[in-house]
Amino acid sequence: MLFFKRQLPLAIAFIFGLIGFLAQYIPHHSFEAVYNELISWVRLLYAFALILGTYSLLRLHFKRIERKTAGYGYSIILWIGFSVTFAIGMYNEGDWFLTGQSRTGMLMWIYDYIFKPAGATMFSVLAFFIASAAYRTFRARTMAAGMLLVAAIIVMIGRIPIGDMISEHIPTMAMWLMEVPNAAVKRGIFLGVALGVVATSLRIIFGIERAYLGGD
Amino acid sequence: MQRETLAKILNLDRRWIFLMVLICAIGARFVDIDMQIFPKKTVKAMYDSIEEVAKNKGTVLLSMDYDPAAKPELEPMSRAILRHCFSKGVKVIGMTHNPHGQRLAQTVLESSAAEFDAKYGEDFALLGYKAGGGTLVINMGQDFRDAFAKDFANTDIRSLPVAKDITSLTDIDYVISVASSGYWEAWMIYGHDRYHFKFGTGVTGVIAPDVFPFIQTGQVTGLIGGLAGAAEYETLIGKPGIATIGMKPQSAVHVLLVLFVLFGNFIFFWDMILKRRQEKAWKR
Repeated sequence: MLFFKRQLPLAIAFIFGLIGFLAQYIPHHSFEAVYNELISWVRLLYAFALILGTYSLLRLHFKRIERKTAGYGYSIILWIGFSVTFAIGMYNEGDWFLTGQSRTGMLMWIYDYIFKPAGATMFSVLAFFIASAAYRTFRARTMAAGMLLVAAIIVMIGRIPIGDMISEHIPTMAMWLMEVPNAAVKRGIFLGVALGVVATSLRIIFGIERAYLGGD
Repeated sequence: MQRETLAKILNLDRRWIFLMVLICAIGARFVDIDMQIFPKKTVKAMYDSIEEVAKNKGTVLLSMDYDPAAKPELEPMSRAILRHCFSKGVKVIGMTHNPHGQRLAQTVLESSAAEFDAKYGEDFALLGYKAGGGTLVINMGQDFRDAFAKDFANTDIRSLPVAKDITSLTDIDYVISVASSGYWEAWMIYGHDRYHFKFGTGVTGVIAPDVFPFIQTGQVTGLIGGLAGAAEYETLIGKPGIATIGMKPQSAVHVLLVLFVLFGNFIFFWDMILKRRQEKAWKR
């Protein structure tokens, strides 16, 4: 059914894309009402995306276990972790899932004593890898790399209290680097990205860009 | 020194580097140095904005958009902001865009409120998590009670005195997003630019440079960047906390990083000189 796979999604993208676009420029209450309604729909879609994402993740790891690909043990851990957490969440300390989530009990225990420390550990390990990378790869091979290196050192020292202890000019220089060269470059990047988003959006609305329709 | 020795130094087993970072971070906690913290103007701008809200006993919406991975860096910010608000009688409405952030938001909100005897419903409330990101922000601007009809504990928000007069984001005096990802941008683009409320943000050190262009345009009033920013805020409210304690290890590791970079480059250039000398010798 080519209609459901091609024409219908393209028509939906065109109609709703155009409404969303026009709603920004036509200050009429009827347009505003339609736009508000669409915003509520988008929020619902987000919730469905969560379900779709979970399904996709579980399916991927199920296939890895089925094919016994390298590292499939981690996929088993993911499935066990998901199943246990999901079951405990649904059980909800005996209140089941129709009432609000319990503020104590097993699910909160998993969050406080497994999820929180594991997450924090992952992030803190970064400091060690950054130190290793800084030592091995941060080289002033060219003039540009040299300038980057000097700027990085000023910002690294200027952002911490020790920068003030060494000289009051270091934090001032760090702030100048952030406010002038950094802001200028960021602004250029943001403008470029914004123009790219506009161009891609127009391509999707007018059916030129069709990658989101998938294969087949 | 021979080039082989220099190569060995450059290719030092990274476990030694990890060990040095660890020693530096732990050791710095025991060094007795009085570190003076001087708040930057972006942090001061957020402090002043809350002081302004306090004059009218207004309301701050604090969106704690981070997960446990960013907790060590961002929770001290949330705590310092909450302490400031509660100490000045500012009402606080908390929420999160991050599905993993509700428990963190609840913990920091309740523990900070307990320090000042702030009461749930009267002085603060927690809306919890809802999916949507930017669209949720638009929805909150259009109809606050439609976006959040109930708080995180399923209580009707119209029954909470702290939220009873809030019908749109425009009724909030100051919105702050403490974020570990792009949620602060969603607040700015879909919130501030549309509904024109005052907006400030607290972000991780890595994200902070992204915010600077928007401080200049006036879209962001107040920025706390990383743990150092949180320590500056703690200094402003006169209540040193975990961020201030963290400044010693952070300073030590930053200095170590700089030394690593300088030493690595010193060895690199030395090796380059030796290489050129060798090449000249071969030519002769």
